[in-house]
Amino acid sequence: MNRALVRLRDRNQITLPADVVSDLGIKAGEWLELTVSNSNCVQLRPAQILTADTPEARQLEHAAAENIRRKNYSTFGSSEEFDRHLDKIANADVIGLPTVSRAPEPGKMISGEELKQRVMSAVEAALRDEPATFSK
Amino acid sequence: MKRLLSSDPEGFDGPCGELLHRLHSRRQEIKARLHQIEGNLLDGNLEDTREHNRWTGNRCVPLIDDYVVVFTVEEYGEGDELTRHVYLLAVELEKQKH
Repeated sequence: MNRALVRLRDRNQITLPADVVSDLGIKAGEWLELTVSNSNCVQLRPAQILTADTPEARQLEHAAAENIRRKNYSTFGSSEEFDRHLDKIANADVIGLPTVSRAPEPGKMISGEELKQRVMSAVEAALRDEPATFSK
Repeated sequence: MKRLLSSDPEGFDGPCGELLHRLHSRRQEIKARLHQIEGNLLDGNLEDTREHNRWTGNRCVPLIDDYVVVFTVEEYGEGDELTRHVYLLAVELEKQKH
């Protein structure tokens, strides 16, 4: 595992060591997903555009459906507003993400209680005639 | 009918922002296509869309090259309160089909 000390600079900037950037296969302009855990650990991972029909893409779609359920999304009242949003995300350095519980990784065991809750929420969604948010 | 468009910050905003950044020289082309998609979906025109995930009901529409926009549409309310809400869920790369 690569480890390094990096200094926090003005405007809250840090420099990633060149070998880390190389190992991750990332380059300037690409996005990194930053996660802060309860134990004050910061995790950075490449947030590349996902390939459709992969477990990662399905997991992201599951998270997006969860965001709809929790009303964690941006809404635009006009085409001009959507256009401004596109310019903003094209030029942004930071995009805030909602805190959501992700679906378990493929092959990862989940507890019986969690499974029960997932089935119940899927059934409730079906009874409300809403798109199911229950992942495969 | 009220028409609403929303985007998911993680699935859509991040990847779309990256695509607009990466393909800077084609930014206007991508934005024009996104506005075309926006108009079609808000009008209820799903002509060039297809099923993306049979379990969730999500659909997708070609964006540019092999990239697609994954979306879902909800309609709720009645009469003047009838609302069509389009959620842009993700931008994804489709596998090469050859």
